[in-house]
Amino acid sequence: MSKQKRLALMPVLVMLFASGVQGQKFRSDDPVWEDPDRQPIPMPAVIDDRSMVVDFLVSTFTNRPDEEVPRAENINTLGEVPDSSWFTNRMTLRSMSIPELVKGPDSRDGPDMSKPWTIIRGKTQGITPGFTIVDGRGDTYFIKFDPPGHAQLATSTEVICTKFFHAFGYNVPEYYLARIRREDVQIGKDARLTDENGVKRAWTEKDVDRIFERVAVEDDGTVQVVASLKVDGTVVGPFKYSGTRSDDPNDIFPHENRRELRGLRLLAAWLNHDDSRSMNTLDAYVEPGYIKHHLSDFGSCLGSGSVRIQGRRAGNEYMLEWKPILKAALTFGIWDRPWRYVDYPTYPSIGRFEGDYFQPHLWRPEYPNPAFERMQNGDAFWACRTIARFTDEMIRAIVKTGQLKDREAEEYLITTLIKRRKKILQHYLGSMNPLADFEVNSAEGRPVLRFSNLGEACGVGEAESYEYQWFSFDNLTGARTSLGPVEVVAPPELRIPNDPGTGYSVVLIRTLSPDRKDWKKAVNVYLDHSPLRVIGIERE
Amino acid sequence: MRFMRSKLFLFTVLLLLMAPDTGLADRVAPQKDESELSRRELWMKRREEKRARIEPARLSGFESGMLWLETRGLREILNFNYHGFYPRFASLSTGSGLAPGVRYWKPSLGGSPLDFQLAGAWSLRGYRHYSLQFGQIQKRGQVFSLEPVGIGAAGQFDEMQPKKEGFFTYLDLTYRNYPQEDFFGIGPDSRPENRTDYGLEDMSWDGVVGWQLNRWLGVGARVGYLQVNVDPGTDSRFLNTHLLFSDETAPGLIRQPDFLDVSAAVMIDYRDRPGNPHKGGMIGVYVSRFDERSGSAYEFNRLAVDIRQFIPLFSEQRRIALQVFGSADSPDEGAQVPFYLMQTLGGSDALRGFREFRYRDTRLLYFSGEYRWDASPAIELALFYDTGKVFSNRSDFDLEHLQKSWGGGIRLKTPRSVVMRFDIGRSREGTRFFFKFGPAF
Repeated sequence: MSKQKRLALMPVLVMLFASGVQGQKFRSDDPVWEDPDRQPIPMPAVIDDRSMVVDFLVSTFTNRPDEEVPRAENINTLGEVPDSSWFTNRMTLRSMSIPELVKGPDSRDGPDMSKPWTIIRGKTQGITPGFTIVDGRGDTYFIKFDPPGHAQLATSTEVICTKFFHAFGYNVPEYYLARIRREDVQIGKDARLTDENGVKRAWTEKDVDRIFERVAVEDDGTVQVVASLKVDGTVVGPFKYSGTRSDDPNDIFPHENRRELRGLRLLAAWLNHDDSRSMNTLDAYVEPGYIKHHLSDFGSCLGSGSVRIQGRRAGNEYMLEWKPILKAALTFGIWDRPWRYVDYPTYPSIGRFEGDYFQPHLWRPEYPNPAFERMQNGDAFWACRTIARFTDEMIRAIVKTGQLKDREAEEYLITTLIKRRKKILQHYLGSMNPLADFEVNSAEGRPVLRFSNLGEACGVGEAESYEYQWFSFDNLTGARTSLGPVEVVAPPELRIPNDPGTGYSVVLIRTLSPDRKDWKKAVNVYLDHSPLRVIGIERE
Repeated sequence: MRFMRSKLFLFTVLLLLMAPDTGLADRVAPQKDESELSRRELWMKRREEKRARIEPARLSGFESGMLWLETRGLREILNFNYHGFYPRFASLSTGSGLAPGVRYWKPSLGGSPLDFQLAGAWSLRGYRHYSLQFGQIQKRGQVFSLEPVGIGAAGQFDEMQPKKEGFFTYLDLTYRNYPQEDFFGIGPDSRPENRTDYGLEDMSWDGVVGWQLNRWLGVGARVGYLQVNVDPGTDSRFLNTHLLFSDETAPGLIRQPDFLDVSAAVMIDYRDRPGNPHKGGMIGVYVSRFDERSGSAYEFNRLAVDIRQFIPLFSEQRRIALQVFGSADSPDEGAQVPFYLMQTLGGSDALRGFREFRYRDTRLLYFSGEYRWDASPAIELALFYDTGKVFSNRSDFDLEHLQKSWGGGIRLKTPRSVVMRFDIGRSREGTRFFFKFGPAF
């Protein structure tokens, strides 16, 4: 090449170098397992609540995903979610023991029942009566009830689902079941309420009587309640499922691009958490001075709609969804929503929850959730792997924390959860290459890359063989150079080539299966050769 | 030459690195530093950058307003009162326009079961309505209520609330002044071009008693004294009724006596949700007697029957809604029914392709059928066909010479009630648009 030509190419080389710098894939500490997002910040503004109507309007009409949805941003190079103020890896990385699952977030045995509870504030009107109490130990709890005729519906659901979401890794409040009678509650000296006329006044015994008249009372005269312990710190408002909080420097990843919020879609579908929206979240400013993000209020999960049994629409259609509206309108109502005809069992403590009609990919919350809408295969796989880790025994143990008196109903709930789990895994693991657990090992003195097929393990399909090709990988430019032809192996074990000189290699793996065409989608596994280890995973 | 080339090279590199227009300098220089950062350092750097441009988190003005409405505002607006005085907005009569007003409500006087209510409303078109009630007044949805005469027999059964058992009895004093009521003449042959208007002023002094025996059966009775005055209308677009009609063609136009009126009604309501019915039905029977106090020229009995049935079509999503309403006034021997007390057809509630009060006579037969389907739980669409007639002779009690109208509507509703409806009705006399609160029937 002449000097003139080289000279002319210099700007191009400079630009390539620049883009290489910008595109550097792996950094010195990859993969990170903790996001340093718990840095002390000044006390943020307290936002009491957010408007449900505005959240609905924004989520329904404006905050829809673009055609090109970016990859989740808060993940490490292995596609895992590092521990953060949002999330703690629990079942995502390992199997928890049954005692751990049953304990969940609980730090105590529940409210002190040795002395009457003292009401300090609350509301008597509205569709969800409830009040805040202080127990004998001085702990503050918010007390919620079951709707009349449906003892244990909302309260047991709240506890069961809290255990699940905690096991998944989310921050959740502590919820405890308790049985009380009217006489177990007394009115605090300064307790105030806002009555149906909007007037603030002191509580009266009649107000407490009215609440107990409007809730589910069991045959023995007791009332099952769920007591949620006040979370640590100062509550500074709910979080949104999109954007970031402007006064929190730790909050740099748009929430809709957080993997744990995108993947929450599958967990919410499993548990029918149709109320997974901003109003059911909670941010608290905690020691030493950062915002901790919680999911809360799981009363509208499974077959419970909190104040009644779940409506038939729950999980099946958004509050406002144009396609079915237009279909029904234009066909003069002859086209009918199939979910209207789903059969549900008649257990009062279960409500409307089933696993036969359930179609996980069509499941919907009350209105579009910006993070759920952006869920991609990588996010779905992350959630699936966690769901798959829940064994039947684990599900049974968690359901039993709901203390359902109706054994038949309890069994139905367990069976249905198992059925729904299977459907989620069937659908999502069947629609992507479900390879997992990549690790560098050695065979016959040579390094090999071993992996497992989560789809096979979950009975979704059978792999015939694995097609793969090795490349060298330039961490600065992202350039790949083939290190050999495409090869096929039957066992999930690939020989690792020597360091190609760039320090990194990548293998593209496709699973060949006669019954699962989507398993042919590529999984790229990156290896760092100094020392030899898996440093990155990307899924098509 | 070599020197020149070196300079050219350096110049090119410098240009690329520093030229602000290209943005490359911004990309290269800081990113070269960034390339040396670990992942955690990189994320921390982004956090430091955000810390430098931090803004207090707050709700937008719109969201704050909406939140206030959701959490406190609606309740506060609905319950807003000043020492028991509540603002109110009502529609006094078809065509009256929106009527703002005020209501004074004092329940359980001195801890007794007796309530007191005083209300007044004034429309922009000069319609006025005042009422005073004292006694054990029925609460909203508590029991079936029997309204004063002016509401019309069909309107007696437009109760939308689920019923609760209870008993009520109170005194009711009502004054109305409606200055622009339309009159087209009496009978089926009245003509639209004969549209006139008159002013109706009346006052009723009633004792009311009612009892909702159970969820589906309610009875009520009203006994009182009715004073009526018919004046020239104030709508300058139309002739005054007095100019086009006489006492012969509009009985009661010249002289309006006082009446002793006694009415009673029974309502059997087995609709699933009275405000948004999908199945079940309702039967209402209303009887009344109007006794002239200063003679016997305008004495008559009235019998009205209102039957509504809602039939699901193999799904909750589709249903047929049917209404049959019949009313017959039987004047005493030699007496007549004053035109201002006759039942009418036309308008948003009956025969929707015609103007309000388009037809009136001593007898009335009306059928309405709607095919209703839910596009969503909150949106109902409807196609309707209304037909009916007014007549005076018992021999005309048949299905001949019925007036017809048809149309469609869209309704917004909650699970419990239709909040508002927009109906378009078409008839041989044109197209009518209606925007109303509450269901058609």
